Amino acid sequence: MLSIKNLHASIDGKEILRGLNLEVKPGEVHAIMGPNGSGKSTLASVLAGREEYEVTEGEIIFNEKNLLELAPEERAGEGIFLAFQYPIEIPGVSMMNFMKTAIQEIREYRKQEPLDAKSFLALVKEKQTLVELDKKLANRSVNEGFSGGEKKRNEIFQMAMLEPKLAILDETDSGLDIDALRIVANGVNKLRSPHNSFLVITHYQRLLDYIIPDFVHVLYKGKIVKTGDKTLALELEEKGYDWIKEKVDVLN
Amino acid sequence: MKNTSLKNQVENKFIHGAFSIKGFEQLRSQSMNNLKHIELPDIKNEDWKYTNLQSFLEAINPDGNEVSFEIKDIYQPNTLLIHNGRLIHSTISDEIKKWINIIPIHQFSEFTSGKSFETISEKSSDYFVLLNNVSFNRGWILHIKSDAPDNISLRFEYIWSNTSDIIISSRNIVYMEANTRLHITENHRSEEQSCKIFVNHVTECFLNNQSELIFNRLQEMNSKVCALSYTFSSIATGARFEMNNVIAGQGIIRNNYIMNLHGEEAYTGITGLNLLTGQQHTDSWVQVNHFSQNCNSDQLFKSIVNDLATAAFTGKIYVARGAQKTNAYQSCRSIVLSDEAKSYARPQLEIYADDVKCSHGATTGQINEEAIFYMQSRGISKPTAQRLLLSAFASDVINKIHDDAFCEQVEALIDSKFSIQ
Amino acid sequence: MNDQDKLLDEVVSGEYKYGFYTDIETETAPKGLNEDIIRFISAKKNEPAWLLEWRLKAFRYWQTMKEPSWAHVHYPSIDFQDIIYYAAPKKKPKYESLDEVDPQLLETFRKLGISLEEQKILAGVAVDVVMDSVSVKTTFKEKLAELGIIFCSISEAIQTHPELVKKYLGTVVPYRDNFYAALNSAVFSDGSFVYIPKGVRCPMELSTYFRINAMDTGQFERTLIIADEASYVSYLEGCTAPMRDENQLHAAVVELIAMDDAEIKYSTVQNWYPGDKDGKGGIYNFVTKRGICQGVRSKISWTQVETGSAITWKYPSVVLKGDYSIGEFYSVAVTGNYQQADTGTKMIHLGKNTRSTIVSKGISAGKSNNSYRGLVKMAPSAKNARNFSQCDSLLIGDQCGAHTFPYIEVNNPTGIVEHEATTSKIAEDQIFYCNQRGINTEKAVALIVNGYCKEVLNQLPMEFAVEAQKLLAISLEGSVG
Repeated sequence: MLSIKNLHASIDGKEILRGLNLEVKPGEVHAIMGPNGSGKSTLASVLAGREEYEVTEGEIIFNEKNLLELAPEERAGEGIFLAFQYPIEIPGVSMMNFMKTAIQEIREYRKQEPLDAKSFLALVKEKQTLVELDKKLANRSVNEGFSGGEKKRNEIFQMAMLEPKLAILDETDSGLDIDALRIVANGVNKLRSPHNSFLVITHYQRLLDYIIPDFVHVLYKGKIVKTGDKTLALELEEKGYDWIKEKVDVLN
Repeated sequence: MKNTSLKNQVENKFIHGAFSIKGFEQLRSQSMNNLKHIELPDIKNEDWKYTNLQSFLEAINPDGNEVSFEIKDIYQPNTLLIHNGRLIHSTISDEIKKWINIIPIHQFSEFTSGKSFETISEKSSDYFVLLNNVSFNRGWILHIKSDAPDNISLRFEYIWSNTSDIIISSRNIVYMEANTRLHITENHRSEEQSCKIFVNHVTECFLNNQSELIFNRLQEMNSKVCALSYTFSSIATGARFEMNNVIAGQGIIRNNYIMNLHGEEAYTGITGLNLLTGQQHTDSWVQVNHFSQNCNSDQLFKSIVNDLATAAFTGKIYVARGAQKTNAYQSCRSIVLSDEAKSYARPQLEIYADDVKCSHGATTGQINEEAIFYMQSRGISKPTAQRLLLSAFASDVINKIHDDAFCEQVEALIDSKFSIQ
Repeated sequence: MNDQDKLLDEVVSGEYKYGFYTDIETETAPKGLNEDIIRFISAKKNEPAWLLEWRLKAFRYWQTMKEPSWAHVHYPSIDFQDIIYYAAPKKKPKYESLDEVDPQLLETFRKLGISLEEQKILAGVAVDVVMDSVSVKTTFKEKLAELGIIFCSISEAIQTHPELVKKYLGTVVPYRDNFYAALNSAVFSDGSFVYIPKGVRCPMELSTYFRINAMDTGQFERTLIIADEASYVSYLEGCTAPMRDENQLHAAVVELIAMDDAEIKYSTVQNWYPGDKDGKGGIYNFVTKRGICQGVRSKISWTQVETGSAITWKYPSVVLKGDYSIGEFYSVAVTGNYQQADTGTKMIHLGKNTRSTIVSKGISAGKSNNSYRGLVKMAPSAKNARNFSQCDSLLIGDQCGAHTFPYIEVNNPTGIVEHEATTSKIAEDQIFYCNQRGINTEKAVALIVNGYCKEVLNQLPMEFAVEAQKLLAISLEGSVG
């Protein structure tokens, strides 16, 4: 589904990703962990197509398409969803209007019939329940006046609405209390299927107690330096990153 | 027609005492020429909407005589005594004279020593600036050199007085070399007198890279004085200019501030506190020009207006095309205490760059009666409560003035001017 | 939501969508202005002597006046002798049904997407169409007449209700008010007249579609709305104009009068030809709009969405004379390309406990300049008056200008005035967020701008809000690279 080969990316002339390789198959959940500044959020931004990041080398193939040639909204149309670490506020634009526009645009991209108002409302209702999102939030402006937890749950709600093939969760667990974390994780788990995949970027093992990953990767200095199963996350929790850093630094 | 003849009269009155100063020949001839095309401003002119100088200019009748000032007091060190715009006495220490050179304006060529020097005022098209350009015949140049210590503080005692009507046109230049710091306090007052005084006073401040000027000014003149001042500044990369102006006393005061931010990371902050009673009339006119990117500016003006007084404020933030990452803020707040008091505010934004943060706020209101009642219920008398609230209102301006003596003076003025009943 | 979608779907081309020309024969006066022309206009309209006299007085006064120059706009000086001051469709029709209307006119409206028939049936809107100066169609008149409401062209009102016109014309905007008001008073061609009798709540939105349609014809509309005690009316004004190379002058005057407990809501969507992308052509829109809250507890509310015109010079104002009266001004002004707008309001507080609210949203794109200019004045008699003003500017691109020029004049120790203004741009992060959800940049901008203007759009009647959103989206097409 997703194949990243030798990816190099930089911002303001500073190289962040230095030859990253990653293969994600349908139905898999991959966790990306790593110390601060290792390039985790850069990876998310590059996948979603944020302009400030320049890809200097390598390729990203997503379902046989060259992702790097596509505009951010086309990537969304292809089924890539990024749950933002810091979702932005858009004053005056209601959540409902925003979601409706997004769904219709994506359907148009996929050459599907527009969704009628009734089905849309039904979908909203269904997905709201899924992430235990207060109905009132839908009438508010996008992310405006939302608490930190509400913003994150709102991201998961949008993910549920858009049913992406690959969802990237960029530190969705940061700033969440244990209840909110559980709600978010439940939302994700309910959306798991053999057809869609997840890339879970996180600092802590905590989230992985709820979202069980198939693979855990350690990102360090812009490269994946270690890959394992869920036990690797536990090991990291216990020992920290220093032992991996040392190994890598010695090799270099 | 009447206006044209008044314009001629005014110009004649001004130019009467002018003489040629080496280095300003071109400025004078050019301004003389420009003056021909500009009308004497009246209240139909947007910039003079709230201040009418015509009747004062019509009534003033200078006879050409000027008395000299007798120095009686003993002044603190590092004080300069200025009478009617002329430097007449100085207590600057020899130590400080090593770094600071103060000379009369007519020795301008000595200061430039043959190098070309562009005034800021030569680009102005303001009637009274042009009038000043052609007529100033007094004032001083202050030059601070780059190796000066950074704690120099000077006090200027300004006295405006005469025995017959007089029109004064004066020009000051503050020239700060790179990396210098200077703290100036100006204290303007007038003597008890029956004659009319019209002052047209232009100060030009040049702040080279990384220099810092803090300029505090207190104006406390009597009702016979009509004072027009222009403070121009040219602020280079990394330089900071802070201007704090307090107006008390009586009479008509119009202060114009034109701040030009020319280099990146430059800053200017202007505060004004107007404590107005009687028939006092003040008009503050500010233009902060962001010509370069990454500059910040603040404007904070507060007025307490009582009796028949008038407080007017016009403040513009101008952001030139390309001056991205500008951060500019402006606030104008007034408290109106009496039925006849007037408050006018025109906070303006003129913006030609998109990546900027600019905002302004203006409020006019009165003392919070609820707060007074609350204090009364805690045993505080009404006048005290009112004074406390007025002090609180003025405090954010006062807090910006890092000069304890100056602040105390201002606090005392609030107490004396607004001690009600 | 539905409307939003409809709106987005309808956004099709960046060129001025309504720029087409309808070839209807018109009867025109010769170019230029003198007393004979004014007599010609007055005679054409079969006016009473007092009105001709008033026009002539205004003309004589106008000749002594100078064109105002204080606004933040620049344009070549207008040759007032090079303008045709009167044009009327030759066939002056009086129709009972739409079938009788000139088919070409109906075609025009069809292209505009404003079917009279549809409007009549679906929205219940009575439409008084002003096509070049003379009203050609008024509907729902009978129904309104049952309630005693007068809704007709001002020319007709001059014939049928001269006492009302004489009593109120020029009382809110005297001909001495300003240069363009004087000019309008001298040469006004036609416009709307509304009278709502005591205690009547007008059951439908009254609307007029103005349209400038003859070559080189200045338009001088005159509108007069009187809401008698305890009455209510909502009036809608919308404009489109055909593409044109010559600059056209439009100097309308609108006067509103609200008696005790009356309320007038006046909404405008203005979309006149703004000139092409090089700033060539376009309408000069120099309008004087003012209402007076004459009675106690009366209310006047102006809402405007301004997207068109090469130059806009317009300050819908309220004189708050009655105690406890309320004035409101809600405005969205969008400028693109080389457009210039200097618009805002005046709230003049005279009565006790009067309240006013100003919400202005200026959006500048391209190489345009957009200025807010507003006056809040509290007279000594306005005890406990209050005002709140919020003026926000949004800049799109780094070649445009956004300016704010408020005037706050308080002559009263009990008045409270609060004014806030901010300037911002559309954050790249907002656009990216939308992109990531599959929404392209152009639509994202339309969405964000509509959100930005929501406070104002919410004030518009439903069907107008849809049109306004559509206009915002069209006006901003191509403004973000």
